[in-house]
Order: sequence, then C-alpha cells, then structure tokens
Amino acid sequence: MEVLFASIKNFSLGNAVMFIIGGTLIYLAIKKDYEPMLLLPIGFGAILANIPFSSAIGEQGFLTILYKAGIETELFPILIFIAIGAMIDFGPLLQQPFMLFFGAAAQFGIFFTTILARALGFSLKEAVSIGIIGAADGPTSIYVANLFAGNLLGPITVAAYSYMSLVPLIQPPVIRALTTPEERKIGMDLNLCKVSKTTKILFPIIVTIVAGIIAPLSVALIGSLMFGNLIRECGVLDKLSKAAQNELSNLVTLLLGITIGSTMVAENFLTIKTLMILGMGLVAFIFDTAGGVLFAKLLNLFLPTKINPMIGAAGISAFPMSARVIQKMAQQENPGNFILMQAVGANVAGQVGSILAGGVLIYLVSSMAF
Amino acid sequence: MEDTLLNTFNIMLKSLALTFLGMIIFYCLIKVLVRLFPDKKSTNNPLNF
Repeated sequence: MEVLFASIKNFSLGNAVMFIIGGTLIYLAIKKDYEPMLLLPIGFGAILANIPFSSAIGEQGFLTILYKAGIETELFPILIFIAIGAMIDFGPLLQQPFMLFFGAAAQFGIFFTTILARALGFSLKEAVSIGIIGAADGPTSIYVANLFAGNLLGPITVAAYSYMSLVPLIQPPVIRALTTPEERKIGMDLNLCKVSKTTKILFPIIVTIVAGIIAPLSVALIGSLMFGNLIRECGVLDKLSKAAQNELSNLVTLLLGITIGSTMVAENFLTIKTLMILGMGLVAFIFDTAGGVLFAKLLNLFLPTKINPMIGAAGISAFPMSARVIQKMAQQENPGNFILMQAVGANVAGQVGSILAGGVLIYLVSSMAF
Repeated sequence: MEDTLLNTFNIMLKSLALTFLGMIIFYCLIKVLVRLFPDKKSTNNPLNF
C-alpha cells in the first residue's frame, strides 16, 4: 500500500506530459505510419521511464542495462549500419558517380544548423550533435549525439526520426520555392551502363580504406555500412545478408528504440532545449534540401546538359523516401519524366555523404582542445 | 583553441570542404573501378538497376 501511495505522491505533471508525448509518438507510429519501427518503441520507452520508481530504469533496470550495453558503447548504431549496408544497392550510384556531389551538397543543413545552434548558446559539441540531425540518418545522429552530448540524445533522436518520416511534407515546398516549373520538367539521361560484380565487391572494401585514411574516426560508421554491403554483394553469403537485412535490423531497431525512449525522463526532456532542438532539426532538413537544389542549379550554370535540380534534394540520406518524393514531383510536372534512377543514385550518395560528414565532424571536434 | 562562434564556423567550413574532398576521391575511385572492371554483358537497359 505504501508503495502505491509513494508512486502516486511522486507522480508529477512532468510525468503526465511525458505520458502524453509517449502516447503521441505511439499514435503517430500506428495511425500515421511515421517511422513506426522506431517511434513506437521510443514512445513506449518514454512511458516506461516516467513511471515513478520504475524498475525498468535505474541501476538494475533492463533499459539501463541495454543503454549501457548498446548506446554508451555505440554498439546499436553500428549494428544498424551493418543492416543498412546489407539493404543498400550501390548500383545506381556506381552507374552515375557524379551523384556523389549531391550527397555532399545536401549535407549543408548539418553545417548551417550547427552554426545556428552555436549562435543560440549551445556548446560546440552540443551544436554538432544537433546539427547532425541534418544527416537525415538516425544511426549517425545517435552515434554522434551519444559521443558529444549524451544528455540531448532523446530529443535529437526523436527529431531525427520524426523529420525523416516527414520528408514528403518538408521537401516539396522547399523545392518548389527554389525551382521553376521549367526546371522541374528537365529530363535526365536514361542510357546508363551496367556495373560489373567485381566493381560492386571492390567498392565497399576500397571505400572503407580510403574513408578510414581521410577520417579515421569514421571507420566504425562507414566500415560497418560497407561490411554489410560486402555481405550483400559478394554472392556467397546470402543467408548472412538476409539475416542482416531482417533479423539483425529488426532486433536492434526494437532494442534501440525502447532504449532511446528510456532516456526521455521528464526532468531531462521537458526543457526549452528540447523545443529548440526540435525546431533546429526542421531547419536542418530544410537547409539540406535547399543545399542540394541550389548546388544543382549552380552546376547548371556551367553544364552543357542541364540536370533536373530536384535531383540535388535527393542527396539527403532519408533513403528511399526522398528519391520517391522527387520522382513524384517530376511526374507531377511532366507525367513522362522518369528521374527515379538518378534520384536513387543521389539518395544512396546521401547515405555515404552523411556518414562521411559525421565522421569528419567527429574527427575535427575531437581534435579540438577546449 | 577557444570555443567561439568564429571557430565553429571555421570547423564547419573545414568539414564541408573535407566532405566534398572525400566525395571527389570516391568519384575518382568509382571511375577507375568501372573502367578497370567493365561489365562484359552490358545491356544499357535503363530499368535494370
């Protein structure tokens, strides 16, 4: 009886608000289909963590144990990268390597948002963790945020995954604002050569080595992604490839979501910083899109054969949603316009670009002695 | 080095430059790989990727 009264006595308004937030995330996952694999476990984890005297958290709580084992050690994001690597076909990118530059340009949101966050009073490490929401890549955001600003992990993860699911709503108005209907009608070359299996096998190995030399701290991220891709492309590990794409991905996503949710304790989450992070996350996605589109328009000033500038917006890492959005917009302008292949190429390039940008930032910020 | 806005700007510029440099290197790498190991049964089928 005493325990019951103690729980009720310790139940705060903050706990109630967190229940509502957790419930909202579960609602968005089920009813709106917004990243349900992540938002539902995060929402439920938030509820578990906000019950007074919850045995799910605390020294012996299973969520705390999972947090220490999977997040503090960065193990969960790394395992997710192996799964993502096994899911990605780099073929469209290898056919059109030029798309890599859109994968870099569409990381502009990271850099703009980091400067914005710093100007708003966040420390450099916190600002970089917030800016990395613009990577449009959940595991990279979690990896960097945990490394530099573990206290902001909850809001950063929620913002990253929420905005990824909102790409079909965020990107079209930004693209329309920056392009003319004529530009959106531009068709792209469909005559692409096929890529050999040897190239597909060598690509992940060589990229890992080269990226490791450019930014050694990115090896864990890019190495795990490329390892997953090597399993996929080698042709002799089909069982492992399928296991990585399904069992590994599902299991780690499940544990990752509920563990992240457990960090959303009322006293840490219900702060003005959370609201600011959610706002800046949106800014990051908007500037990613703008960066990609404007870069494509800049290239069009010099290229004899024009590029559809919407392809630049597909350079964000939200795969494959962004590519689909771009194709849909192209067909709205001209039903016969088929630019999905180029958009997928840019989208895959965005995956590489976001990890590279994350690794470079980790390297540069870690080497600063503040 | 001090944790100032100017230094943040400096770091971001370096990051952006290094990200583009990385992509230039990857671009060259892919070009070399595709040239060294061409697909012998290339069909040019635009829908087959």
